[in-house]
Amino acid sequence: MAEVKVEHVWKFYREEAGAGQRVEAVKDATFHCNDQEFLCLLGPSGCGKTSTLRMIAGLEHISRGDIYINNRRVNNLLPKDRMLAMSFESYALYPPLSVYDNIAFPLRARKYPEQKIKEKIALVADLLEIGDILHFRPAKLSGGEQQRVSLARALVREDAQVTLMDEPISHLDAQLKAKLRIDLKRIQREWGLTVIYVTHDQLEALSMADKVVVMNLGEIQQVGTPDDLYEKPANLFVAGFIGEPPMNFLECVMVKELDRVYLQFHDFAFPLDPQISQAIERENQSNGKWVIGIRPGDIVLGVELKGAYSMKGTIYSVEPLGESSIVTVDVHGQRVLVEVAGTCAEEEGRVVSFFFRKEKTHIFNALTGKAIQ
Amino acid sequence: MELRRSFWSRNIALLLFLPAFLLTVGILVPFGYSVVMSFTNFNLTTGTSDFIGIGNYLKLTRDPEFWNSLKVTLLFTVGAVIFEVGIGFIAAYLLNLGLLGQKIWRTLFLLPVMLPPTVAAIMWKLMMAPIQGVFNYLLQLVGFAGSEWLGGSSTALLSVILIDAYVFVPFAGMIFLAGVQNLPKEPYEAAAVDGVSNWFTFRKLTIPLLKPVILIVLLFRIMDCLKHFDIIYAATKGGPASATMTLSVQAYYHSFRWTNMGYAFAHLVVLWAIVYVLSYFLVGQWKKAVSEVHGG
Repeated sequence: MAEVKVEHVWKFYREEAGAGQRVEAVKDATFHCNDQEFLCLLGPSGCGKTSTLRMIAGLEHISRGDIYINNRRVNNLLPKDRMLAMSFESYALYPPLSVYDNIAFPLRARKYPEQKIKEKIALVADLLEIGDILHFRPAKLSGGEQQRVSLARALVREDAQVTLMDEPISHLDAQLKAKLRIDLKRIQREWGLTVIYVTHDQLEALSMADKVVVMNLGEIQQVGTPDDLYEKPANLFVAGFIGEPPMNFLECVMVKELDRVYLQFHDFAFPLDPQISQAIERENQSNGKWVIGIRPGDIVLGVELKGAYSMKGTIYSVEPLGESSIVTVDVHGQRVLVEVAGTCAEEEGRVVSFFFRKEKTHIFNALTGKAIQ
Repeated sequence: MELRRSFWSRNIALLLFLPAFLLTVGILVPFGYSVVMSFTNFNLTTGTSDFIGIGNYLKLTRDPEFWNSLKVTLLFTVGAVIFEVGIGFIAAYLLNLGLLGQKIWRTLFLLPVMLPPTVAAIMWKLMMAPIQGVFNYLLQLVGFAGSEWLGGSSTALLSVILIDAYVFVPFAGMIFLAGVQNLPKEPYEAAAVDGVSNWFTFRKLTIPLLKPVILIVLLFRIMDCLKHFDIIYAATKGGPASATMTLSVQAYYHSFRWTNMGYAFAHLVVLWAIVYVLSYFLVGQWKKAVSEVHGG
């Protein structure tokens, strides 16, 4: 159907009061969404993901840079000429019309026969479980229901080249969310939709997207597949944002002893492999400060692993979560989270050793936040 | 102490109720008095005040002057409301575009409502004067024949409608403007992305969303036009030859010129009934429209 190219796009907002002051909502964003790809814009609130989506939709002016849809520059095209469908986080439903008429609105404007409209609505209504509220007006619906109507209105648009979704399932309860994650992904595949999807929920991004664009403070942090982001986070922000519970960070200093390079955290020293120490030495401008990142699930508690890094600490708390438990270990005032399968018999206040493999660690420059690959 | 406190706690409610009570009495007593008087031959000159049943109302049905007034009143209302709602709507749309000098336009637009209606009527009467008036002067300048305006039996009604529109278009326009500015933004964004034409959006979305506001303007203007007195009396005194003789002006003549109060009251009770029925209908429609837009 279509591919979308976002090339060096900026968005400035002029501040109302301060003359000449500008807020940079999106800074130099570049990414491509291929035909029939599911692309997620992921980031915390205020990171510029919605501004980016609205620029693609044509609802916001592009301050600088270019956006191409099917290799056609769309900067100066009106929203209606970009052939897009969009579902809104704020629902953007038509208050005087019933749910049925809301979904039918874009189709009726295109003079579809009523019979065909009926069939299409029945299809999406079934999918989104809104068949029983079709005759209600939006004001009578809950937030989750309105959100599904907004999604339905975007999904009936079979002529759309790209389907844009702004937090389309954020207001639903957990169960329905889980179902819709699966359904949306399946629809996208089956119908061959090109989807650009905005979310702050890493779970949605990781489970549905073919490609994820992680944004923070208006800047793109990393573009990659969900696996890339999880296995090879490009910087501290991505490492901390992706994964639940979040990655542990230990701030270390670089120590060189007998030609061997170590990263030292208090009285624990982690010897580095030659190629990593070379990379670190090449880039050693951060006063020797480095951060070791290790995911809670990659740490083993109590059982010694041969050739792995080992540390010792006091158990601070144990959080049982059903299938797993989160154990917090205090090491010199630094809390380290460990994910343990099943329930954990450890008691608070006990001193324990824990281990993690060298290849499971991520090393970041403490100053720039960039990962050493 | 104990006694005083209980006195206050017992009577404070009555005291607070008093203004509302006085207001109600102040409205209902004269109204009830008018209704009662409409069943009498109350006449200030002869001093009679005898109960004559529905005599006055029977007389109304046979009075061609009354039927003419009713027709004039309704024509005036329909004409004035069409002008005011139509031009007011267009003005609100233009003022909402955010054109250059928007604040100045809004202030200028509001000027006519600040004029006392009588003053506006006299001002227009001068401009509409057939020989020395500026309208005919301008018309003749571009080659048209002048009009008789307020002086012609066929043009007088339209002329007073124009004066009324001049005074009340801003009123309608300002309420429409408030309505237009309160329209939610997001549905229009959705329509824009969906490629729905402006005309389709206007018909299917804007008009239903503005329906409560339109009905409020209709309600106020229809009630006001039906009862209209000041502009018409100041401009034409009901003439020429009853061409602008609305029910209010007619009732005024019957009461204060011919001192036939009972008969005048009968006119006013009929007028009240018309206003009441129409308002009742419009308020019902308004409630329905509000619930359609805002739920409930």
